[in-house]
Formats: sequence, structure tokens, C-alpha cells
Amino acid sequence: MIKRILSRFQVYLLWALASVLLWSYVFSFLTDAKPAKKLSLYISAENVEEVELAARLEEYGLPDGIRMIKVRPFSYAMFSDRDLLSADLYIVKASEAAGWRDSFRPLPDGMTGDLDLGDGVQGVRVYDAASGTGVFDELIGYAAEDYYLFFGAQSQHTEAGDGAALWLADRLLEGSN
Amino acid sequence: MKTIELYRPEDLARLTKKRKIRRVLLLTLTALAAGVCVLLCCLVNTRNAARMELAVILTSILSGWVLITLRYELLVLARREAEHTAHMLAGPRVTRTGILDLTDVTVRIPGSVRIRRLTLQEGKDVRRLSVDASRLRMLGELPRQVTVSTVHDFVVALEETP
Repeated sequence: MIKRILSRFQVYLLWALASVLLWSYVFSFLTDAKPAKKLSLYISAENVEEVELAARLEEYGLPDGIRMIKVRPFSYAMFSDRDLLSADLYIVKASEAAGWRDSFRPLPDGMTGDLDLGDGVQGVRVYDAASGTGVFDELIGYAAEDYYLFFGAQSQHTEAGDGAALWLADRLLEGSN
Repeated sequence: MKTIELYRPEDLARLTKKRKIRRVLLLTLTALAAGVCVLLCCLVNTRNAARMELAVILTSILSGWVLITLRYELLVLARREAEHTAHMLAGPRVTRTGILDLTDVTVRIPGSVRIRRLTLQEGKDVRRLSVDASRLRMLGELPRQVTVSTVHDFVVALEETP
């Protein structure tokens, strides 16, 4: 019987490959959504507990039409920057902010910024290196410099649309310790 | 004179029923495995997504391997056994007389049953015959003088010759 089973080795191997492909495909639908249905936050930090942070933000209750929140470190975009450039929000360290300026847009009305990059583009400080405190600092491994929150220039969730990016920014800022 | 029939119509009915039961069992197990995978998918949330994906893939691979093994070892063999029996019951019979004896050779016909080789000594001629290995004990003590009925050199019945 063992000999017969071994003679079908290719069938078992083929099934294993098919399983991996099929369920990976299914899970890509279950765990991701089109940009219009999700809020994405990119963080320029090395150690980000993205799953836990996304789960905590989702616990606030998602806005209408939004299926999920995706949190990613910048390193996630090393092979493709398409998702990175169309993110809704960014948390970027002060020294790198100017380099990403074209990906940001001005803050929504009513919000005041702490870092001005010119042409109305501003960032809200979310981590203060001097005091060592910041939003969700137990989940985001901030480096020893200030971090700022910016709104994405290509976001589909602006105030003119569903305003979900502003909702997410408010939830993030509520996370200040 | 006692005639031993190795293949009877009721055997075919029994084997067909066995095959149907096994097919239903296999389909039930397949549905169960698929159901577990779907259930795990329904339990996915942001925190457990990676673990659940791994769990579903492992469940799918392992249950698939078990089902593939069961399919070949139970269902396909039962089907082949039933097909072989039907073939033997329907085939043209040839009757021969001689001394029937066993050889040590057992082979599995690809896509069919496991067989045991026999020899039938008809005077000076020795003819090679086969018998379904699972029915070997029905032949009784060998060697002995018998009249055998064969279908395509498979022993299907035997009668003691005085």
C-alpha cells in the first residue's frame, strides 16, 4: 500500500500546490478590498504591529462603505509603490517628510498642522521625540525624531467624498497617550 | 459432483452496493472537509487572518491527501473489483480438465484486481491460468484433478473430476 501511495506522489504534490493557490486567492479577497472600500495608512517606521493597529482602529466601528483598514510600513511597498502612493494617510518622520511632499495634500478644514511643507501641505505631529510619546506608540516603533500625520494626495476618501480619511485621522489622534 | 462457482451474480450486486456506499462516504467526507474550510473562512477577522489562511491551507492539503488516498484505496479498487466480476460473469466460458496447481506468482493487473497464477496440466500440455487472489481459498486443496471453467484464462468455476 505504501508503494502504491508513493506512486501517486505527483497527485499529492499537485493537490498541495492547487490548495495553496486556491486559498491564497480566496484570502486575497477576504483580507483585502478595492481602494474605495478600504482605508490605508502607511507608516514610515521599522517596527509596526500593523495587524493589531488595524484591528484596534476597526474596533471604533468603520464608516459606511468601508470594509477594512490596512496599516502598512513603508517597507511593504518595496516591490510596488502603487498602493503606497494612493494611501489615505501617512505617518512620516520629520526628516523624510519633504521627500514625500508630492504624495500629500493640505489638511482638511478645521485641522491645524505642526509642520509646514509649503503650498498649504501640513502635517500633524503624532510623535514627540522630546517627550517620547505618540499615538499608538505601543504598536508603532518610532525612531528618535518627531513623526507627522499627512493626508494622501490620491486618497479616494477626501472630505469631498465620504470623508473617511478624516474619520481615520481623528481615530488615530484619539490614540494619543 | 460438486461445482464451485467463483463468481455469482449476487457477488456483483454486493460489490456494486459496496462501491455505492464508499462513494457516498467519500462524498460526505469531501463535503465535510470543504465545509470546515468554508467555516474557517467565515471566522476570519483582521487579527487572525494570517493564522486562518495557514489553517485553511493545511486543512485543505491534509484532507485532500486523505481523500485522494481513500479514493484510490477504497473507491477505485471497489470499482475495479465490480468491473472484474461483471466481466467474468459475462465472458465466454471455456472448459478444460487437468491437474490444477498453484504457482508462487502474484501480480496486480494495472487498473484491476490482484491475481494469483495457476497451472493446469492437460496431459503433456501445461496451460497458465489465473485466479482473483481474493477468491483463492474457494479453490480448496491444490494440486488436484479438476475440470475448470475459464473466461479469458481466468478460473471462474471448478468441478472435481473423479
